[in-house]
Amino acid sequence: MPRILTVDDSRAVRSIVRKQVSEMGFLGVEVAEAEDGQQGLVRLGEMSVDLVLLDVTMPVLDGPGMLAKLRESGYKMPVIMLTSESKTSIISNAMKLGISDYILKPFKAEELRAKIVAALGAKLQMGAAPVAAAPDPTAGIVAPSVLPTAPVAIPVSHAPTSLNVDVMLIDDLENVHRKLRERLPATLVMEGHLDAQAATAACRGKTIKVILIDNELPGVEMKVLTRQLRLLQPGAKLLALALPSTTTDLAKTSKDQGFDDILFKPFGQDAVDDFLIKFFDSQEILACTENLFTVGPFRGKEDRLPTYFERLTTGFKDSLKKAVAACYDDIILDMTNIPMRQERLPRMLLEFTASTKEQGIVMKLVGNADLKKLLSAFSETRTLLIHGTVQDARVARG
Amino acid sequence: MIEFPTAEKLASLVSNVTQTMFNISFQAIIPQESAPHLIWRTVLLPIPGKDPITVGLSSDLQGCTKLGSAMFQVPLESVDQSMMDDSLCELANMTAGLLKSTLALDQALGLPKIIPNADPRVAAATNDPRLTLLRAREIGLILWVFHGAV
Repeated sequence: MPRILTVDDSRAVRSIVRKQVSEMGFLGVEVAEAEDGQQGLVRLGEMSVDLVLLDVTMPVLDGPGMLAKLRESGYKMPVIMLTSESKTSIISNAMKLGISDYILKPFKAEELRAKIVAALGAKLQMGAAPVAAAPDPTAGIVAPSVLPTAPVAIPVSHAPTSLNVDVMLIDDLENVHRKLRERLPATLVMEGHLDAQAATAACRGKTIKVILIDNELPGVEMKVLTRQLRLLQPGAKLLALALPSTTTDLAKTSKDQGFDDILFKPFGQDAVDDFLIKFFDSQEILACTENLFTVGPFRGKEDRLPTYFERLTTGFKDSLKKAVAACYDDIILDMTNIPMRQERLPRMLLEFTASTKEQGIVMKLVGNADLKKLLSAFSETRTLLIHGTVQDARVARG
Repeated sequence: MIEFPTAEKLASLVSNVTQTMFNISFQAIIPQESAPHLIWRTVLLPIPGKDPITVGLSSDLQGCTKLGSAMFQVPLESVDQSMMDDSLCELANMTAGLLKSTLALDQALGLPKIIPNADPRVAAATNDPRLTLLRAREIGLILWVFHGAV
């Protein structure tokens, strides 16, 4: 019999949670209460608990304090933060301690229900129809014989709330979730589900950039699922996760099934980097802090290099506009990480130099010996001054 | 110094909480009136940090009872003093959370505290222009938002 422990100093919130859970239609789910972290730890010692709903700001022992102690003690149950607190450092620390999800107060019963279902999955048994339950968006997708399985509690790595998801993964194999999470940058928010039903339910009220779907998800009519996901997430790119095949034209099949693209399993870091460059307008390509523009390294397959340079050029133009608006006299372009491609780099730099001149701004370049060597080989860029460090560029006269 | 939202926007923040949790919406009273009778029960919640601010709420017996009834989903006659205090504190807590997001303040919320009516801040509050009077059905609320953490 699954048990939820709600830890909140507000009796009103505990009462709301208890009432909402009782009306969700789950069979035999118990709700226990604690009014602070210390009492919460005592409850954990007294009874088995399958899910903790944890407030942040509480007297005696706060939510993060309780979370740290329960993980230290070896408790591995999912913990969902249920709080009004949105301070970045508190959330990111909670993420590090392994919270499964995050609900910002005020919350609706449907949101709480979706998170409980995602956290408890197969432990839940449905009874009578839930009171005022949300309509099932997955009708017709999952074959009746396929029971929903437990979703994967993968802590998102960076999100004030989990309303903006960068990558949603739907795959029935847990290891795929682990591998992808390991290979994605920590800054990307990833949400994983082991079945289509849980995934589509979790899509509500969120904005998802890319949805990766195992193209051999058991019992799923893929065309129906992709159509449903398009309705729920019209802005998302849908990618098939597939094993390479010599007998099937996967490009055609996946297109027919409604996918935009394919990511092949087993994906190595190269393939994931390539995916990132293709689908995420990554800030890592050009990071800007005041008038310092830092070029990020290129990762991925060689054939994505043109995209990298295009995005760098676009990013540079946008950032230059901001620097002009902020009345900077100069900008520093740190190109230490830029890939040395002689066919692209000098031409791009000349474009940048012309743009900055046009705006009446001085551009100071920072780069390593390879960059100096490359630029000195071209008459047009031979005279460009390259500083060894950002500090050198800062003190140099324009 | 941070500029606080207008009375209408503040009303919408409180309503965001009450509408989501129990389907009640508040409106700001324009022009603002003095409503000393609403300062029957007051809760203040500090948001300390770089730009410290305080968020608070006051209401009268009727308002506190109705809020308690709505929050705990119980009949009016079942609402006791601790339920009123708890409802007012939680409403202040959720409103402060939303206000913090609106102001893009990356500061941690403090704990809400019921302030006795004898407290000089409460006594001096009757005509304080920093207070915003809000109304919904038969509930009157006074929202406090000011610079500095109590």
